[in-house]
Amino acid sequence: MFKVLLKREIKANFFNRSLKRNFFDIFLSLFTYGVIMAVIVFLLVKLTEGMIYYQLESEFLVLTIFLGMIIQTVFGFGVVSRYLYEAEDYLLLLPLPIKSKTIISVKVIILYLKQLTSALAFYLPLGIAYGVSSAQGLHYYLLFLLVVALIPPIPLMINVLFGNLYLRFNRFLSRSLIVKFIIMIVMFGGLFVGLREIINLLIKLMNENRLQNIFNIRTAEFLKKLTNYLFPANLHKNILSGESIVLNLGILVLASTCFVIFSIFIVSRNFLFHIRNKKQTNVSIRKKEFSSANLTTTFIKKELLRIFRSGDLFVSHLLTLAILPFMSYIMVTIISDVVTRMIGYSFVFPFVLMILLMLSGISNTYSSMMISNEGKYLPYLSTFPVSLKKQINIKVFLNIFLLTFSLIITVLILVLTHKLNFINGIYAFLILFLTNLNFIFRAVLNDLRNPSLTGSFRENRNTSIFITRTLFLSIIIGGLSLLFVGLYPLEKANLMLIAVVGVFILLRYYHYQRQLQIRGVNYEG
Amino acid sequence: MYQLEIKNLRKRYSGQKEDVLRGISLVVKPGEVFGFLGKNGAGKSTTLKCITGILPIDFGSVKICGYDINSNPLEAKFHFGYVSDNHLTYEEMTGREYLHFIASVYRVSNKDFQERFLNLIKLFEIEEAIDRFIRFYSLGMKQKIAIIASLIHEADLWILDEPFSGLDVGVAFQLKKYIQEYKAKGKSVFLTSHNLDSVEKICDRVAIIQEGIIKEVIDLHQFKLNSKISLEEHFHSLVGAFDV
Repeated sequence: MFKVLLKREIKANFFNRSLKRNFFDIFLSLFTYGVIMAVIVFLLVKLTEGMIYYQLESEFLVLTIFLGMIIQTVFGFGVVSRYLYEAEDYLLLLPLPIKSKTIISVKVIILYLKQLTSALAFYLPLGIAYGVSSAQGLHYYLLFLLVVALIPPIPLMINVLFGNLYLRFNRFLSRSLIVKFIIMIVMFGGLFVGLREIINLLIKLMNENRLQNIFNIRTAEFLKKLTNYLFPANLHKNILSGESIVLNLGILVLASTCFVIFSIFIVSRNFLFHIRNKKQTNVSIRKKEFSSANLTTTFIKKELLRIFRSGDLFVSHLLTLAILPFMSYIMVTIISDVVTRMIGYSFVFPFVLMILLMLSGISNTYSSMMISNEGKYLPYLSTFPVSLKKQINIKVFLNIFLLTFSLIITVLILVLTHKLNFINGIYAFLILFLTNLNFIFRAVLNDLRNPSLTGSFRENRNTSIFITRTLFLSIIIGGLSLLFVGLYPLEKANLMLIAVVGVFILLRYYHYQRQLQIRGVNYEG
Repeated sequence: MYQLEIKNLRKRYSGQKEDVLRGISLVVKPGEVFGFLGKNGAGKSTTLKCITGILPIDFGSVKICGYDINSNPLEAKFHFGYVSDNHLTYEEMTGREYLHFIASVYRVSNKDFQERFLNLIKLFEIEEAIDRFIRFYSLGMKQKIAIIASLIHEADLWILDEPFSGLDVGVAFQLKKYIQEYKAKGKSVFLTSHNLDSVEKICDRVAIIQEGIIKEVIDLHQFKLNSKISLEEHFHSLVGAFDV
């Protein structure tokens, strides 16, 4: 029974979606991942070489592994609670003649595999960069894979151990989205201020050629002392740098096995409690009317109300757009400085544009699910005495309105902080606005063609397709901008880019309206 | 003018070789309760989806109160209220908000809404839960909200897909009573149901569909006078199965 269940879960969690993808999507994904990986590896190689120069490569490795574990632990809480405690498949599995321990063991193994996948994505650039910088052989890469496989059990155990607290906190937040919004804004605001301070300090040190002084003997000693305590990342590092491989490997394998078994034990004790408490009835009463002046405001109000009351829609739509200006400021600050140093100031704008396109695109994943978020209600919309085309256009209008607002704030911040001059700010806004319209229209048509009506936000394949296409197109437009800037003066290059993007958006809009007419009038659900 | 007029309706799903509906024709008169019966997979739901504009029609026509669902869809949609078999609503809303939203979509004035709203929530015994989120409702309560939503604009034709499933005995009784009141106002009801006893009691006429074709249209008043067997027995003898 264990094998049957494990096979089913592996298929459901790792293969279903990817196998359905078409060749073009796979190509886009590989291309985009390849480009991003190459950039990250390049930057990491530079950083690692710097660390080798200061003889701090071991400390760098320990710190990065430890940081990765913290990140995995933070993001793991959501994965664990969704897959272990909030999953609907228990209703199907529990009545079957399978021991609950078997179900839990399979679920913990699947969780481990999920964490392993994300660990590989995170550590692969680091592993390659370290291997390239220190000219390692094949055995290093094999050991690296083994080490990565031994990283997830600890974050997994912490997630399981504190899963109770996380769930209670999350349930509290889901009851009050205003509190959630405030917490998120404070959190990201704090992160933004902290990062800004760090970046400003680094840039100041670089400009004054004092950066190398950071790694003086005192700092190096501090880092060495600190990494001694960063257990178990220092064991992982020992294996990679060839120190007592068998002993360290033995400790890690034994500890990992214990952690996984302990996780299964903890889940066995917790999960029935969560299943019983899952269907908490919310008796809160909201005696509010739903009055609106006309049809457009009726549908806008409905859309906003659903976004505000659904945690997933709230995050994918409002929250990401709210933090776009902060994220853009941080990324533009870093990119401007790196490009100025490496290539020259005149090439900053194309890279800034590419980063802004990427960030604004992936901040608006809602556009890839605005049809799917209707769930099973979608066919029912066709029975309303309002055309489906009009209903979709209202959703698109709302999305464009919110995105435009966020883009204006983003560009304003960049102009006011002198990351962009006023004229370049206007060019950047126009290019961002037009390209994002393109992203939105494309995403809506894709979602209309293949809506995911399960109502599950995370099972929506259209979002991953949207992100891949957005990143791909951002790279292409950034590359085009770079080409124009290389050939012509900046102003002429920008005007040419606006013309190209403008032609594309006209064609896209025509296609969008035509397809909406064909598919929207009679939706075959 | 008929409340519902279907002429030679044909429908084939993409990727299939045969039509699901193979020339359906029927009419529903004003002040009539019409039952639409058939085995699972006979074409009942597809017919309802074509009538309500969820599915496009391949051939033939559907008119609601004289408005063609293909050429004049919005006018046609104003004239019917529809309850689907899965009782769909927006679960992030409260019952009151959802009903208000539906009333806004059908452009019901606030005065009319308040009057109908109070009557209907009382009739379907959902007053206490009306300001709670629908996602916390039981299946029966969700069904009640879906039924009330379909009645809020007082359409001329009320289309119900499996209206009695999931309702408790008392509310099912109220629903049957309300159907008769609806009929008394000169409005029509078109329903599908697996509950043949209820259908026999409340319908004026029924159509039995099998493999996309209407096998028989029965006037139940005549049937009750002339037949010695029940509608259920007649149904089984006609379609040859116990699976209704």
